[in-house]
Amino acid sequence: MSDPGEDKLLEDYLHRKSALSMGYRRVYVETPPPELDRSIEARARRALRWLLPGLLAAVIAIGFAYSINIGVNRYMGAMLGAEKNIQRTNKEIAEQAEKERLSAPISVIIDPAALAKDSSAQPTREQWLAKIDALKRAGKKAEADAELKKLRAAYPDKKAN
Amino acid sequence: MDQTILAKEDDAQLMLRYAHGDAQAFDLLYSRHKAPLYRYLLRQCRDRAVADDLFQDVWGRVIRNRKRYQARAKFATFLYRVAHNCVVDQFRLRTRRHDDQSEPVDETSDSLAAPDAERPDRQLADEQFRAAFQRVLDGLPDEQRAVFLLYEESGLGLDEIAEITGVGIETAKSRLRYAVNKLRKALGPAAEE
Repeated sequence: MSDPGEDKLLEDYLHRKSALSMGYRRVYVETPPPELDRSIEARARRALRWLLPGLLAAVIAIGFAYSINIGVNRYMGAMLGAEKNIQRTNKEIAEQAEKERLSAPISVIIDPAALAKDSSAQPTREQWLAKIDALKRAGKKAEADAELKKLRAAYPDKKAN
Repeated sequence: MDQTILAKEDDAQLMLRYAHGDAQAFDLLYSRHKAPLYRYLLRQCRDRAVADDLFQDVWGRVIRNRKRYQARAKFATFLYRVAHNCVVDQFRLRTRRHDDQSEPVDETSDSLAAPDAERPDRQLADEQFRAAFQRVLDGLPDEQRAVFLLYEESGLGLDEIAEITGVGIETAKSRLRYAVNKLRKALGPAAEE
């Protein structure tokens, strides 16, 4: 707990008009020697001399980086363009090939093997009738009847004997 | 820039101007603060050569850190924080070297002194007052002396001095109270109202 009298003295002192403050300011009046002033002011100016070269260096560095960036962008643009051209050319070639394939004669696009496979899968009506007749003559009545059923199912609008 | 316009700028603006390359702004800032800062260092170090070195060191740091300066606090707070840190570093160095064993010498009072017969009474009285003041200041603990000198020389308030010295405002106030009471009692009527 502080003494109220001391607090009052401190409050008076804090107004900076006490005898103590005035006494201090009366006797302590030194200033730095002129050579110190010159040294510090020169140092402050020397520090600024680096400011202009520093700014110039920064501008040059930014310009250099910018030009490199432009160069890289152009190169990348050219690369992308070339890639697009290649893609377009491939597409055009594919389209052209498709057009040619579609406009070619039908015989060209029908695979003879597939045709043979299809024809073996289902014989003509006359071939089928001949086969049934042969089965009947060979005494294979059940097989002949089964083939006849298939024939009727395949050709419902025709009447097989 | 016109000196009269520049003279109206506050310290923070001058420092910002200097950071942007205005040497005149630094000159004005320096002229405003050089004497109180020099006295603060001189009273703290009690050695002119050391004070000169510290004075150059403090301004060197201000110059180097000009671009980092932000006008959030007063320039004086920034300046005296740098100065206070330099003094604390100097004390530590001195303690390590055991320099404190030697008696501190106030060279400044010797250099200003002239033979008693040549001096008018007032000047003599001032010299005696100054010598007595210095003895009491030297006898104060470092923390109390620092707060007293900062209050007298920096023109800053107790809250800013507390910030500079890294303590709470009540601690700073208590240190100042002790310092003022000791000085008053030791200096007698010359230091009382």
